[in-house]
Amino acid sequence: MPEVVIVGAGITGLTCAAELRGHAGVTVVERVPVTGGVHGWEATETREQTAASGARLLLGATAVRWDGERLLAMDQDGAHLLPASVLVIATGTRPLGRAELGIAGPRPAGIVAATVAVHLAENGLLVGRRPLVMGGGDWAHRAANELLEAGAERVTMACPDGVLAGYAEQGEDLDHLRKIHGARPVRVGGQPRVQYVELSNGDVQACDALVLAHGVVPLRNVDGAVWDGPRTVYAQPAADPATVAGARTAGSEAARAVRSLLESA
Amino acid sequence: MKVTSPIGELPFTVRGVTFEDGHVVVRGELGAWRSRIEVGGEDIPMLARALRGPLIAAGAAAAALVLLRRL
Repeated sequence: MPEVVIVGAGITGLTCAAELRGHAGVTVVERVPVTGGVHGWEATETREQTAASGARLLLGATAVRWDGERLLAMDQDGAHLLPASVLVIATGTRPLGRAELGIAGPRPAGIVAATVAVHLAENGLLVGRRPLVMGGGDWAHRAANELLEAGAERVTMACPDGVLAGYAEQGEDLDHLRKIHGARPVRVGGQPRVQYVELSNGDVQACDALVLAHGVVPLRNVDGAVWDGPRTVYAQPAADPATVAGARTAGSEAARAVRSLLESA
Repeated sequence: MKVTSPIGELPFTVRGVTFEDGHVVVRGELGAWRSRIEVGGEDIPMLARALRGPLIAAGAAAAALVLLRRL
C-alpha cells in the first residue's frame, strides 16, 4: 500500500486521512502535541475526526523539508524521515504580512499578526493599549475582542473591505471599539514603537500597535513544499471565517486529489 | 488536568509519581510531549504560600461540617 504524509492535524488534515483509509498508509504530522488545529483539541468534532482518521499520528513534530519522496520531521526524539508517495499540506492559513500589504514606513516595534496578538492576549500579554487592527473579518474581530478583554483601553479597526457578514455591532464594547469602513493602513510611523498609522482615506490614527488581520493566505513553511509540485496536494481552505464544514470539504477534496495521483502513478 | 502554555491550553496526563534524589517527580504527557515536573525542598515555602488560602478554607469547611453533625 502506498504511503501518504499529511502535515497538519486540524479538521482538514484529519478528514483527508479518514477518507484515505484503505487506499494508503497515512501518517499525520502536527507541530503542536494535540490534534484539532484552530478548532481545538477539546472540540467534539476533533475527537470524532481523530478517531475516524485511523492514521499514525506524529504529534508535537515540526515538518521541516520535503524532497519529493520523503518528509523530514523533527520532534523531541530527534529526526524522522517519512517516505511518502504524496505529501498533503494542511497547515492552515495566516493573515497577510506587512510587506504583502504594502504598508510603507520605518520598522518600529509593535506590528504583529492577529494570530500572534490573540495568542499573547489569551496569555495576558497586550501588544498595545491603543492598538489599530487592520481587517474586518473573523481574525480581526477575535483580535479586537481579545485585546479589549486583556485590558486594551481602546481598539480601532480599519476594515478595508468592510465588516464580515454576521459580525453585527451587538455584543461588542462600543465605548472602546471603533470601526472605520473602507480604509486601509498605507503607512506606519514612530520609533522605537508604532505611534501612528496613516490610512488610505487621509486620516492619521494615533496608536501603539498595528495588528494585521486582513486577507487569508495559506501557511506553507515546509521547505520544498512551498510551490505546487507533482506529488504535493494543498488542503488549505481560505474561507473567512474558518468553519468545520469548510475544513471537511477541503479535506475531502484533498483526499480525492491524492487518490487520483496514486491511481495515475 | 490542563496546562496553559504559549501555544494554548494543553492536556496533561499523569503517568506516574516517583521520589528521586530528594525530589518528587511527576511524569506525564503534555499532549504527546513527554514531560516531567520536579518538586524539591526549595519549592515547599512557595507551595505553602500558594496553598495557604485554599487549605485554610478547606479546614474551615471541614470544621464547620463536623460542628454541624454534632449539633
